Amino acid sequence: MAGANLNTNTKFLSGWGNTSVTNNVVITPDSPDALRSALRQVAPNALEHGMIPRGLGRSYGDCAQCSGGVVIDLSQQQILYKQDIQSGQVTVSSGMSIDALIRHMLPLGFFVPVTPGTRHITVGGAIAADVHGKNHHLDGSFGNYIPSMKILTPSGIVTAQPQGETSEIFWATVGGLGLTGVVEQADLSLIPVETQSMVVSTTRTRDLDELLSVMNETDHNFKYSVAWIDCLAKGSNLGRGVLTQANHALKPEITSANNHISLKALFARASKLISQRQLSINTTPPLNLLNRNLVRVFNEVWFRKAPSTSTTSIQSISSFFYPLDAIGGWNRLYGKRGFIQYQFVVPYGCEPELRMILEMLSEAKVSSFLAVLKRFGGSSQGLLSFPMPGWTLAVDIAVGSPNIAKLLDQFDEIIVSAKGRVYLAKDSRLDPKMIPKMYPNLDNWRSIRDRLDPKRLMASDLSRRLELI
Amino acid sequence: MNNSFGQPQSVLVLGGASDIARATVMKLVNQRCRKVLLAGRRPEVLNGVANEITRSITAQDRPNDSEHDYNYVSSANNVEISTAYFDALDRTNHQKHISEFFGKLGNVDLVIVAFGILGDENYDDPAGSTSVIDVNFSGAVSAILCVLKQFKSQGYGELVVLSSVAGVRVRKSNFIYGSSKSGLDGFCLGLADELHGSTIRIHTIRPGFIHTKMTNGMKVAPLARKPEDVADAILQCLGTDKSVVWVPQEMKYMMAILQLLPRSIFRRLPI
Repeated sequence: MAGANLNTNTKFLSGWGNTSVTNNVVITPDSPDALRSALRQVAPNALEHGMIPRGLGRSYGDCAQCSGGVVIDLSQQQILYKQDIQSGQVTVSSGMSIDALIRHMLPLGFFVPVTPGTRHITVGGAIAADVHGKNHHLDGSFGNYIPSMKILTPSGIVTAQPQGETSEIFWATVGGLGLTGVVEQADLSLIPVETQSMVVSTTRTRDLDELLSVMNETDHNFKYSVAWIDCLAKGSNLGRGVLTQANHALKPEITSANNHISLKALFARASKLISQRQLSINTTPPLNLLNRNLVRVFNEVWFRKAPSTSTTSIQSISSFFYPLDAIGGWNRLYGKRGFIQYQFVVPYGCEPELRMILEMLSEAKVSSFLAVLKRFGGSSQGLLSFPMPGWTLAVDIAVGSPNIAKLLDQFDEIIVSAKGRVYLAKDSRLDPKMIPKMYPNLDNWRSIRDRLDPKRLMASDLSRRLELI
Repeated sequence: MNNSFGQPQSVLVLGGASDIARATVMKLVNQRCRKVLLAGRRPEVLNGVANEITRSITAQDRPNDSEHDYNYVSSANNVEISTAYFDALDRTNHQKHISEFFGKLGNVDLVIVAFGILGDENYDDPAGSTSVIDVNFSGAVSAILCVLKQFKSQGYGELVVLSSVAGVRVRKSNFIYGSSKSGLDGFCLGLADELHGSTIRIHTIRPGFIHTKMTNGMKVAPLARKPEDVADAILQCLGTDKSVVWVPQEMKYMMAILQLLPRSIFRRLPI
């Protein structure tokens, strides 16, 4: 009765950007045993069209879909195997969401060590993309907090660790885009926090030079730091932005904030609203609603709204880390053709290249509702991991903006010549010939991967498009 | 695989000698397209087209239409163009050939159905006249349905079919060719509706008079265009849900007026 739990469906899938939709056979195993037996049953069929694991589908591009092949949906398996409230180490199934983990562990005084801008991702997805957060400049990426993980590779089950014999497999899997096999479970080291609030400092900067120098000078004082950029601003305003930097609030800081009763009540209400997700976009408009005029107005308001002198406030974890989670399905606002998120990193010293790209963006009048700049800390050991020391910029761009495809190709050239790279987990349009230039460990990763999957069963639309395997 | 901007990486052309298909492929290889298979009846013609496309890549090594004067380097595209035998009339072998083409290319992002013959509109020659129908309609329907099977198996795909304004309202001057395109046009529109909302798209292209070897020596009609103009229109519709593409766009309005005319007047028009 191995097939009893095999829950199979044919589904149209795309990434969060709603582009490049393909048809996939989706298997949703409801237990670890079902997962293992599903993999055994699927493997022979995967020879032709491949298979790939999928979490909550928040990656923007086509990395968690496999056209004509099999997608193993792990998001229904949210298992907390072990928790140690002394050390903060947990053992979870890879389908465990950051959201569920926070809801369970935050009341016990622990927070996730690294989180991207949404809590609706799985631990498996975070490993596969080696995600980074606003604390990357100090703490590095997600893979640094996995002491051990169990991987179901096509050639057998491996318990991989960051050091020792299995370290090669470990670092091929961290950032490996799900192509080394299915992570069944992982240990994760959480970080202790005293409160559920953040002390947030907000600084408005009038141009790119000021923004970069403020970030360079002050980032080390804050665990978290990120800047929003008005990418429609031109000339002397180019790169104007709002920098938010934060630390976890300590107990005395919250107590002093208690004196402002009304303010506190307001925050509580706002964060409650946000955590309940009262707003949700349920249908896709035929056209992009986040067009240039709206973005221009939004950017002006957002910039003016920020205090002209640096100020400090107390915010909830939800509103600081996950403002967009407040609007369910916000990706639909980009309309039927969807959008892409383009994120790149250029090493420190390549500020002129960063400026050039921002100039070209604003010159081309490409509006980005979300343009985010951040300083990265050290490189990850993940062979295909994205982070490296330097400046990283992420922009959301609607598909259908004229000439955008060509403009991004030009950015790729600039980035490659600066020895930077583009984030694969968000990609949906790179030219395959750029990958070896951006990811010098590609061949090493390929040879390790091929040993784990000699018949090449693992594949995704992204791996085929970028010719990774 | 297709990317977010609807730029195909692998293209199969059925009727690889078509001037419109050649112009389209020349533009596609300057985007993401790296694998092209030109299928048709005459290898010597196809090989010539393949060489011509390859030469155009080397000639356009550096994009020259940049609005910015930043120095960036674009390396030569690594494009592989191959040719294969395919005959629209040989319907019994369509399935076999097309599945071989898919096997050779791996995933096929775009299939262009470009074959077609004009015929000589001699209705004293029933056999010759029906061969126009056999190629343009039956052959195309058979090929499209074979491609569809492959697309269903790979989970996605995009089809571009060259119809004609001649099929929108059939004229007395070329009613054999016109009726073959009319049948094809209707088939494609029905299929597009059937496929709507799925991961497979079909775009029906309705060119007016295009300067190609098929129309060489014919009296030039109003709103005549070049194959490159059709290619531009095709590139624009890729990745979108646009199922009917007129070239030029004005043709749409001209045909709308012609369609309103009563037959008693229409038959008297010198077209």
